[in-house]
Amino acid sequence: MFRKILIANRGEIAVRIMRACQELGIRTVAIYSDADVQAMHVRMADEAVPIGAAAPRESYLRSDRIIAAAQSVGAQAIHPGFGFLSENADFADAVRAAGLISIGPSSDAIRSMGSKTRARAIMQLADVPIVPGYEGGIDADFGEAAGTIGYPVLVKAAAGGGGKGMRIVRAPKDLEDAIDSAQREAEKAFGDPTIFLEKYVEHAHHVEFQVFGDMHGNVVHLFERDCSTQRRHQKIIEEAPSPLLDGELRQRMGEAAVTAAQAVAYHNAGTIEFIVDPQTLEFYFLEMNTRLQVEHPITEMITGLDLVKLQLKVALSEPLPFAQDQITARGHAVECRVYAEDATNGFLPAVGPVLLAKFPSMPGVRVDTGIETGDEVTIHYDPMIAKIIAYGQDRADAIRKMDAALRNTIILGVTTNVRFLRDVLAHPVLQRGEVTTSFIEREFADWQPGVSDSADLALIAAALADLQSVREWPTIARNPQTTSHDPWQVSDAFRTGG
Amino acid sequence: MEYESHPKMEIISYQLGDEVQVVRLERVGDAVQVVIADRIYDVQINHVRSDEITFTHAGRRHTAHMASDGTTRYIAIDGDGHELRKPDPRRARRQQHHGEDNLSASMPGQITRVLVDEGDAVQRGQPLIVLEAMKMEIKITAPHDGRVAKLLVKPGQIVDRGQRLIEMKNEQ
Repeated sequence: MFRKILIANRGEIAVRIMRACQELGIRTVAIYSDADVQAMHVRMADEAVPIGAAAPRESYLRSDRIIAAAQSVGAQAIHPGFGFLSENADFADAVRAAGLISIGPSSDAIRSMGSKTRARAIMQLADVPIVPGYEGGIDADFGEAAGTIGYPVLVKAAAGGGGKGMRIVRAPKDLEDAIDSAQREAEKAFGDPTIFLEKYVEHAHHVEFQVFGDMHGNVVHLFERDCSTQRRHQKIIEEAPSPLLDGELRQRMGEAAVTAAQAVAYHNAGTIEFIVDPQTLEFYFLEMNTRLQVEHPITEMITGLDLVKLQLKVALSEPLPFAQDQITARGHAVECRVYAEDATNGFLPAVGPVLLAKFPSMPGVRVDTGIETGDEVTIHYDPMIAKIIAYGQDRADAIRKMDAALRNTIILGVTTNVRFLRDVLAHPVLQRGEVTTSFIEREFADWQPGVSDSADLALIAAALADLQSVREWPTIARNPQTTSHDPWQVSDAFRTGG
Repeated sequence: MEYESHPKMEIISYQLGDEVQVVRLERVGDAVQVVIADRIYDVQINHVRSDEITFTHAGRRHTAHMASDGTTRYIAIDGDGHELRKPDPRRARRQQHHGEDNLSASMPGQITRVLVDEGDAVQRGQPLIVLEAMKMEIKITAPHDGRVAKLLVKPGQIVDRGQRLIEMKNEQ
């Protein structure tokens, strides 16, 4: 096994990777920007190396500094996590050129799948069904192509992912604007403004298969995740298995996923994303993510595997320790992504100090987080601050457990989507397992937290606390009239415990 | 007990959302009677810590977690979050005054582009400023036809949520 690994990431995924390393006795090295000096992933690592200013392009995207950091501390390998440099083939090449191990797939596989347009061509050759679309090229006429495909269409960044640089266009008059802004966003997020068109299959399930390959030609899948609950094309609730698939469809899609991964001689962890039309049960390849996925914990819950540990093994050229028919799934797992964002204000990111963070601790619940009480959520990075994962014997059990877990997820000081997630979980469409990718937009466009029964309880709690802060309840009143005191005038009123 | 024969009431006010809530508390034996508007709660305090209070009401035990940043008290109870502030009579008026236009930052971020100059005539819907945070782009557009009276930000500047970005004049 490795002796020392540098984790080229931050937040909850850096923490999660370090946990696996610590279990295995591998020393961990964190990198951090000026904004993350005090961050949880830095506190947790055995060593930490500063790599630049807060803006990602000055720090977490600086492959030169990251590789130099790894060499300076004697790390043998770099784990890129997800986001940042995780799907950057040049980075993978540079890491290997520096004599280090890159914990991830080959740069060829990253390149092939990183270009969504090239990936579509490869899938077509491998007989994996793809979504009707248009790649453009020189003298591309997107207007005509969109007309042929039929509206609505999706404008997508060829180098994209995570919903960035993506726009839905419902009418020809909006196409040009959408292309312009998608190109700008793609340039900013990925350094590549190339975009392409794809038919937008409305009311589809987003079903993805976890695949894993080793360097000896073995590829298996670890079943699927249904990630249809999305807002702004970003997943917020995922579950495994998918409520849409039966055994027969699961087997066909799993085989297609393995074929897709084999088509690029894939090794390490990857995800084949499909969309499935719930009416026809037709499925189409959407893209491959050549990295560990945010929602990997639900696969870990139902398979009992640790994907990060598997990644480390495979990166050391070890063969996969199992064949396809030895992998079984059991029970049901749900993940909710806790974002620092305002669900009542267009899901805009929220920032601020985390005055209190308390997470659930109960049977079948796992929490992956990168923040603790006293940390700060800044404008510089992704607003996802935690993932709550619940495992139950069946779907209903897992959802019920998740609601209980969210009730016990307490983050004060920064606005989060926890209340929103609970309302989404309680929705009959989700309860029935019929969520499609347009569900949030359709059902929660004007969401407001309901008139809360607990407002009075909150007032009672505040008043009782303020009451306790007045050292003793006055016992003698000369004049039996009421008096009023102002708790805001009492110094440190909030912290006084009576 | 002493306080039984000398009941005394405490009154504390909080701003919750747009409303001022008045909470009256009175000690009755071991319990506290709390009155909010016309609603009466008999509660028993079980446990108090700096960031946590547990009390019983109608046979159910509730735990509230609390934190404060000096101006706002954050409370989580029964899976809901609430923000309480010190009542501020001016607040309501201020909101009315500026509430209509869309010319403040809807999220904290960085100004990437300023598309107009002071004195420019602009049309309703015309993009004025582009704001970026977490790789998301937000366009600030003119809420009505008019003229740019004053630019309050420069490209590259970091702004807070709610910060005013531009002043517009109505041309009528």
